[in-house]
Amino acid sequence: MHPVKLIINKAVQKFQELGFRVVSGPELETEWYNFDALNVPKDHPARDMQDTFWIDTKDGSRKVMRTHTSNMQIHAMEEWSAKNKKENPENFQAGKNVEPLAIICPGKVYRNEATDARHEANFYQLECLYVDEKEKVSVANLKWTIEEYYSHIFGKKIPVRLRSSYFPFVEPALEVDMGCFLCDQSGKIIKDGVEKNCSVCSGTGFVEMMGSGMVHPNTLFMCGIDPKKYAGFAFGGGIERLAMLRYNIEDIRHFYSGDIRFTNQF
Amino acid sequence: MKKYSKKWMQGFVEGNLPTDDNFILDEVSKKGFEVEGFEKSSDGDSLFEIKVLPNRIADAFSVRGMGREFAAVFNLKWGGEIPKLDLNNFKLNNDFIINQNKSNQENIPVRIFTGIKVKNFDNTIVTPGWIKDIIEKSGGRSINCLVDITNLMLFSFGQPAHVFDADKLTGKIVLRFATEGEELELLDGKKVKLSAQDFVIADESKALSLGGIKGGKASETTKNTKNCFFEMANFDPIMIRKTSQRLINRTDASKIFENGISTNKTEDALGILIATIKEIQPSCEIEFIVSNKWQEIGQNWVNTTCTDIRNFGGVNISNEEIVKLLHAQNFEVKLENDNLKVKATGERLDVNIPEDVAEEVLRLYGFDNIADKSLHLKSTTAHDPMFLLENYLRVKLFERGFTEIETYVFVDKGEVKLKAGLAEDKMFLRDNLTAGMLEAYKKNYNYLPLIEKTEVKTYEMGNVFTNNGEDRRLCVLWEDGKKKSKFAENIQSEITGILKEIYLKENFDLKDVFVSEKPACIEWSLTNILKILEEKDIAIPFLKVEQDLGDIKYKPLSIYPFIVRDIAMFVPSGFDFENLKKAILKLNLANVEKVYMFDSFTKKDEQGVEKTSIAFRIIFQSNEKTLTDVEIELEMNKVNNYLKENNFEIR
Repeated sequence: MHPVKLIINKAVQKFQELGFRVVSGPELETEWYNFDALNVPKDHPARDMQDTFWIDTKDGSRKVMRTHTSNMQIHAMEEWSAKNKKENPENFQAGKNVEPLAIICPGKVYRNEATDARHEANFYQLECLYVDEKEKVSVANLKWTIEEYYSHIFGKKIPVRLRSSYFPFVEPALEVDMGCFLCDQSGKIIKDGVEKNCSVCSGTGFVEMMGSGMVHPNTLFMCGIDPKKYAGFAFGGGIERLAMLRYNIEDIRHFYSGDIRFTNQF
Repeated sequence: MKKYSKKWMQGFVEGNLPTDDNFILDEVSKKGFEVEGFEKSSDGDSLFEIKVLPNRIADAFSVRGMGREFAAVFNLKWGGEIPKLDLNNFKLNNDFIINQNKSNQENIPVRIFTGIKVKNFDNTIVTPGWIKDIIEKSGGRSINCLVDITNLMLFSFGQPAHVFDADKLTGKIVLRFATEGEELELLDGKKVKLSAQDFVIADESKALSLGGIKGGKASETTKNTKNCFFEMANFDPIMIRKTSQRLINRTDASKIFENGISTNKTEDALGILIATIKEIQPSCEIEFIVSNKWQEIGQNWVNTTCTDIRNFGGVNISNEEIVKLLHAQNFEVKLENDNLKVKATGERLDVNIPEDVAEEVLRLYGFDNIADKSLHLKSTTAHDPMFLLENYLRVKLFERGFTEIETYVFVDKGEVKLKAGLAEDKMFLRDNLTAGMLEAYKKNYNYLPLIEKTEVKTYEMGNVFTNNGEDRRLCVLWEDGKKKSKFAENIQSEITGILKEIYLKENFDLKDVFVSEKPACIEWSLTNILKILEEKDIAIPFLKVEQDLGDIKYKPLSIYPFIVRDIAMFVPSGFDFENLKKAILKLNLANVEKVYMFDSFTKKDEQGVEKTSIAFRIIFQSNEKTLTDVEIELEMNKVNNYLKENNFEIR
């Protein structure tokens, strides 16, 4: 089985248990869903943070190959808010007695950067989003959800550290460092009877994995959700990265080479 | 990535910064900015390499600003207050500036413009050592005293500044957009052709500099400069970004301006600059100053509540603690019961909404100190039908011996084109999966021995792109390379068989999109298949993969060719190949990739006695080089010897 799909299946097994359902969406996306709705307007320096493939559209419309699965946050939130406005308008406006939105989206994303053993022009991300009444969502919930995910994938308790960062679509933005599964955060492993620095985490005990945060009020607002009544958290990370760490895979390009020797091992 | 000097940051902090630089690295990385590393300078100072992201360029992209951040992280008192200079002591000459911008402009190109005209400055003097030190440690270099003063303002305070040789100016300073095609020679000698979107600081005869980006050669200062004009302004971020991108001229100044700084900062900078000039050369004369403000950019009061902050973090932090953490950053705080009003310091531009306030509290509190809290949702299986369909097919195809692959999306022909791609032959999006599948087959057919199989059975599920939009496809290939084999029908029956398991009906037309007979390969639209299933109200279950992720061991792929050696021989009754395999592996042959049996048959010989014959294969491959025949024969001799010693009859 393709290792990415294998990990996705395992991830879904855990997420569905936690109450998250899978959604899917387009890979060829409009600029609005990929950037503007995520609070990354044109001419904002944050646009430099991701290298984008732009489509040569015949009608001049602005389209891209999505640079992250975060476009699905917008589709899902728009749908959720439209559904609630239609079926449960008073409660939705009051911010009470509303079914929360809990979704994950595993999907392919595209980056316009040179390929090498660590970088490919496309890869998979797993996006997770939770939106609920304001007092019911917190950074503590975000932390818990990420730990549940990683612990399930690695088959043991994995702690997670969050660090201050910046992405326009979340506030605060938090970098996620995952506790090293190989050395159990000690930083050391025993190889051939000798104690060495852990090769996975370079002796630090933690591995930089992905970005996360609390959904930015501007983004909630653009999806028709009142940021004074609702809040949410989100995270999104590369799946190849997980597979490469776990199985010590030497080259990301194997994932897309169509090489049967690669996928046959999983 | 910029470097920040511990010594100079310490100068803005009361109380000592920690001596352990590793501790500093950890704490600052956790609570504020990513510290990539640090190095020791020749004078024993520590220089920290810190990444400042767009939201904090306004306040922390300077020694003073980063020092303030360090003070907050280590809970030390800030000692960097700017003594307010009474500007009434100086002659104000705002007539010196002609602002040619229309007042009804959407984006005001210059928010504030300050300047100082200095007479009789001896620019031959050596720049004071402390200024050189700050400049060099921040990544700049000393040029002449006047220019160094501007760089001091940039690196130490975060306010870009420029100095013109006043004797090279014609008339007054004019703030305007360039005329289309207007030429300007920059300080580095580069001649640029400007457009009507580029903003310049000019005099009454020509453009002098690219406002907020780079100075021009014509008015540059030299050792001989006696009279000069300092300029410090504040420009519209979008305008600066567009110009610096177009002219491919990115400087520290343009980086600061494209993220934006507060007008408060520029106003404070004027006082600091005057004080600095006077300190360096008390004999020079400040003829006049200019200070014009057309727009205020800064921080305002933000209203929130302590309860909101507690809920947001999911943490039980007291009102007093919240106020303490905000005071640590010198924010103004008004607490009334639960209600909190917060105003960030004048140089910040990132604290505008309640969530920003919550972040400032929680990051200093420490995100690590937030214990995780579980959600209590009901489990669900209401997944996207396309995902369920694919997953179903995937698990079933896996059970039936098919291997999933993924191939490239960017190809050399198709209907949808990219504006810019990674290579000439990768400018289009694929409009089918078959081409990639057939291409992969060529390699995969040769790899069959390595996976111990005789047939290539692969599939891919992915998106293709046409003028009609995006479509999700399934492509299945089944081929053994033998001339007479025809697997196309087998593929059809595999897929219909899998689908029949969830929908019991005889024939339904899956409407394949492409069929290749040789190699046998069929492509379907999953969108169509899903439609058929949805019309019949089929609920697709989510199939779980049972395999434990921990049981998989991956072996890196070798780029070197592999060599196959087959042996056929008679074996006695009761023969178990596994025993022979173990024995061969025990021989410790070099570079053995695989050992497996691929054929066995039993037949009666002339005497009517049943004889079993097997054929097995040894594959050699190295991860480091191409193996030679000589090396292989050496290993094969060991095998042959073993077989002879054990009385196996080789055929």
